[in-house]
Amino acid sequence: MMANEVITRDVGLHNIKTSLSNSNSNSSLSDRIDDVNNTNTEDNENINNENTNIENANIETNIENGVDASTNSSNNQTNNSINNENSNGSNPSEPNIPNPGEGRTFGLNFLSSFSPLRSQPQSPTRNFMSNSPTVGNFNNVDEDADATMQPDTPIDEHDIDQTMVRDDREQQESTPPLEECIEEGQGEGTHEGDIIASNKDEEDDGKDKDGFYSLRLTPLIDHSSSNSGLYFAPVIRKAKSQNSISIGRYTEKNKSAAHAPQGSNAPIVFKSKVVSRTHALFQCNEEGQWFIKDCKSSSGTFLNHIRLSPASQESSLMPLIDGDIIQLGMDYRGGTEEVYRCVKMRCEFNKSWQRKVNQFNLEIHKKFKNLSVKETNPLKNDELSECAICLLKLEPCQAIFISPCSHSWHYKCIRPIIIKSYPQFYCPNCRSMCDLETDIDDD
Amino acid sequence: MAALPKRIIKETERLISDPVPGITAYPDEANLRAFTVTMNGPDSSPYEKGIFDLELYLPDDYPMCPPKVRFLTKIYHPNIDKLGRICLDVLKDNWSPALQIRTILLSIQALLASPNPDDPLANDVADDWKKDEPKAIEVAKEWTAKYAKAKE
Repeated sequence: MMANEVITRDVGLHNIKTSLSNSNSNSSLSDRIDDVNNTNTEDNENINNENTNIENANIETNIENGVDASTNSSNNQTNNSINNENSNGSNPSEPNIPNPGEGRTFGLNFLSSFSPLRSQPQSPTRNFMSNSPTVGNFNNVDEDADATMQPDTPIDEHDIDQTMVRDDREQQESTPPLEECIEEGQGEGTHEGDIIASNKDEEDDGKDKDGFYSLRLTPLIDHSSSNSGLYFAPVIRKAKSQNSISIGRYTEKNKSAAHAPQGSNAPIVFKSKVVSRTHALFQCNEEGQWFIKDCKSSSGTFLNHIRLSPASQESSLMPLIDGDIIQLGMDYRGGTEEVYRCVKMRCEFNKSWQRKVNQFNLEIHKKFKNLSVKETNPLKNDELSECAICLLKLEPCQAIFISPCSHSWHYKCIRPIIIKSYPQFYCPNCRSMCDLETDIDDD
Repeated sequence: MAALPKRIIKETERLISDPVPGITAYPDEANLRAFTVTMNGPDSSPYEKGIFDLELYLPDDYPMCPPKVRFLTKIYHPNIDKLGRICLDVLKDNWSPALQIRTILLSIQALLASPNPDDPLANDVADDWKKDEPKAIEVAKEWTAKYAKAKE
């Protein structure tokens, strides 16, 4: 049975790593990766860099990269060795191994999302696709992956094989460092551990009062990289369970969708020619679990850098979690022209992006208020907590700019004034001129 | 047209709920960025007892650029020309987004109370003002009585 074989191979990948890092032979792991890479003549450099990064990051690693980039022969080699390793059986007593083939840890996502690997040329991908049957049978594997990340989420169509693998992975997944990493990512984004904890009991199922589930897409932009994806304003969409939201290219017909209000259920459209007219869709189930499906797109949908289906083939529904990176299409002509850029986006679900004000936020806000000039008149004090530009209140968890003259505004409101004459800043409130590049002395 | 910014909505609400003494400002129903303004001439000035009509328009960039304000009522003032245009620093270079419709109208009222013939807009008026101030003030009073009458 084909599918079964793939899964065992995939598990095999774990085991390579398990055995390698178990014997503390980090070097041999990297040697192995290098070997694999060196057989690939093109784009070797990028990949090596990537691997170096990953090694530094405690070998939270992508063997996937190695496989990805390898030529047919090396890939065969790898697979052989995997199978050999696999005969040892999976070893659940080694918990310190993060999952390699998934790229689903926050740490990893982060690393690889800014890596040059994104623009990987097609040939290695094709090798990956043709040689390891991963793409053909990929669905199973990925469903497993998700089941592991969210053990509570019921997955509809898994068979016994998958369940077995899943159990296997769950054990490996429950490594302390990985979980810490995820928790930090999902917390307030601050490093104050106690505050994260206080935030937890406010979590709900993500459904809003009208029974809608929501998702937010933000562009993944790396200004330091030459091939930044297409920029788009963040998109928020809502849908009831079992409903779907389509993703496609901006055309005359769906013009209105481009200006649909945040929180509508309009299609999500992008002004890029590498996005197909019906490219993919988001769908949400009763539990608020969101999925993505490639709808026969020609240039592909990538979930955390893994292509969901070959060109013009529909993929199955892939479960998504917060922080997943979706890429639509690939850069065409080097992506130098805006309309030929692929779309890279970060997904968040069910309002997880909305910060809940916690004690830390409140205290900081209080402190910040005290920085402003003290006014005895309570009425005046009220004015001070208002942004003079939008006339709305300055509240915790908003981006705020405080000038050297101690006036403050929403950063968004004051930004045009800051950039207009930077580094000179002319305070709109008190008309004093400040130099924003003044050296910071600590006397 | 793009949605009205919250700032404009908020300012309008406040102008109506907490009006400036001696000044009224109401938005036009057709265009909420356009305001019809009436202003009482300040006490102990040549414009005392006059009621002046002005129009005020908030450009798209508001509050990053100043509102456009113009006198509709004829007025004899060295800093206001015959088209009703006003020479006032805060309406030009000294505009700050921290200023509001309310503060701008108060500035205009203050300009009526203290004409500045040394920085004129209406040169003829400014010349008269500098040559013979008592006479110029008399003319201003006449114009106020003639044009800036309370409407029925």
